[in-house]
Amino acid sequence: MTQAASSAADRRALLRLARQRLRARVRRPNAGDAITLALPAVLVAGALWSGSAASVPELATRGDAAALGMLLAAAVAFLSYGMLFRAADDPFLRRLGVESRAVYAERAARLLAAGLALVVVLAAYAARAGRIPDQLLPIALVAVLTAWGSGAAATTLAGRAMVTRSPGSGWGCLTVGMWDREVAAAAPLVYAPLIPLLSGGAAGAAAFGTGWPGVGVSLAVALVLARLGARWWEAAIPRFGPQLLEMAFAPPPPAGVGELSVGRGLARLLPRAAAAVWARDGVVTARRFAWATRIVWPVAIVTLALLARRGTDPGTRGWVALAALSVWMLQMVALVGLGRYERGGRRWLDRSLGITPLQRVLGRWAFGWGASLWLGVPLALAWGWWTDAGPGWPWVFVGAGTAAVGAIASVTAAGWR
Amino acid sequence: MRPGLPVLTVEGLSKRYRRRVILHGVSFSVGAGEAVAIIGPNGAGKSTLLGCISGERLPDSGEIRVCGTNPFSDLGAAARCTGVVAEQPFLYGELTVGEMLEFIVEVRRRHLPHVAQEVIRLLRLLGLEGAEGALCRELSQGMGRKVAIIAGLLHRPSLIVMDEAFNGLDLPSADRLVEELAERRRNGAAVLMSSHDLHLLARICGRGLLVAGGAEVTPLSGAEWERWRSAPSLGLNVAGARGSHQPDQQNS
Repeated sequence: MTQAASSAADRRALLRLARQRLRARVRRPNAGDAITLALPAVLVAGALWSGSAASVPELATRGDAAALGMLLAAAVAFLSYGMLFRAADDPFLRRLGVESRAVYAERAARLLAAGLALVVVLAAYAARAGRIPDQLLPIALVAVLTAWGSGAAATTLAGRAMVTRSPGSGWGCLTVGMWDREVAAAAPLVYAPLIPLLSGGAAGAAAFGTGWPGVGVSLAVALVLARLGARWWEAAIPRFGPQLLEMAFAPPPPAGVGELSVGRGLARLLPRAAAAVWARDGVVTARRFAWATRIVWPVAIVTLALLARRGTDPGTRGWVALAALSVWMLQMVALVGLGRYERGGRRWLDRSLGITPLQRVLGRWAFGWGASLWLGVPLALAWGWWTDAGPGWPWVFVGAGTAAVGAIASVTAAGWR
Repeated sequence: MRPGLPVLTVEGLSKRYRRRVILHGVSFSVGAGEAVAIIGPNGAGKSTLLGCISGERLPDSGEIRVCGTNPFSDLGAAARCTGVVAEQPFLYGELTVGEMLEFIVEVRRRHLPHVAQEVIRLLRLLGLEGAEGALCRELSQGMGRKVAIIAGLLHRPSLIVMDEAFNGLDLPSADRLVEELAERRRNGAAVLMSSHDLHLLARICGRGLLVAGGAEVTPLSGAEWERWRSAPSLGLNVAGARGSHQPDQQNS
């Protein structure tokens, strides 16, 4: 059998597997599936239900088209790395001898399907609102296709750069401003999402006024880029897959950093078991999901600066609110990730220690709320001082609310029993 | 593969995790029909060594050849030649055992048309008949491992790599698996296995490699192996290995 035929057979087997897994998750869902499948479905249904004509993009200018393009491209850019490179079955497929081109093709197809699903949701939203601008679909499709092709290529190129770098060499100007050593070590992967984001926006702007022919052109360009990605992925994967496993290896923390201490500070207010969960979750999250705490600082600094300078501008306040909510959503994702991490059996430690589910939720919520306060407190103070939009203290409780949702989802993902 | 011909050759293999050197300049080979035990304490680098051989861990330097091919540059050929049962078996939790095996058969079938019959034979051998409808996420540890063993053996590989593969197996199944491995060896397959069940290793393997920590891997001489094999729980001192090594007696 030729390599091409072998690759095609593998691709068919992988696509069948993906369909089979999705069908199985819908037919026999567990708590994790409910979160990963039902939550987006509920959010989409809610958006469709509450859709109004006023919230459908105007698309009156090229700038509007660029903004819509970037918005859609952002989602594709965000998904690119996770879909192409973070699958848990990499070593398994490798051991089976599945052709790497087939694996790439299947994952790239999933990424494209996710992007096209966004366009369908957008179209459904506009239809539900009773107003579909003429150019909405062509612009959205051009942006998504361009972001898909460039995202697949850029992420793969960055991945290849990560593994073909000679030992000890750095990334030059790419690491300027990166104070965290581990983030600096992965600089190409940090910057890779910018390429689909910007190219999606630019493609959206370019598609303004071109209509459906633009979709054809962008499809051709996207396919060429995706094929380039296939070539780079092929070159990178024999080493990249194993390397990924090693990136997941958590190094021991420096002495004296992040040591677990129970019942210190406000944790004294909690029952002892819940305080222990809080302390444990804090240490585990800081090591496994360090990004959930690192993202706070840039957002907090920019938020303070923006509110101090332009706090009376509703647009600025809207941006700040969106940024804060995004950070808390990401922290919620980390909490859910913690629960999924525990699903492999680690929750039985809590059970054997006699920690009740309620105490787990309480401890996790307290930790989540505490983490949200690093942004919530400065935001609340800045909002109260520099805006004319009422007191800032409700922000503290918005953080508490997202932490509560995250804690419940997390324990649900881990299993209540 | 003819008995005695090397199925696996490792030359100057080195591997480090960040600053910690796990393996340094490791060289050995395994011939067709041989069974080699990898022994050593927890954290010494046994799984890292097996991971490099199965292509899951990237060596920093050195060369590995499985059936004459490099597992990093010719993945397909190496995967056809190697059957790996990992310490942490991967199963698609949302699929049933039948669906999981169906996917594996689908991928392997191109090279081995009779692989489906082999699955049925192995299911029977390991006592998994009737479990085809069970969800992988609901399997016990032992049953999950049996599925992983079937996945690793069904294509009749020339090199069988087993990392703690017997953990959680019931005794009758373990006995039948030992017989199966012996049969495979008679047909020219090589077995490379790591376990903390020292009696099991002594029963299956004809020689041993000591991964003693400190990045060294020392082949045990015939006399040393026979001495260890006759009393595998007594500990081991090997000249040349850095310090002395007391084999982990957990599970033995």
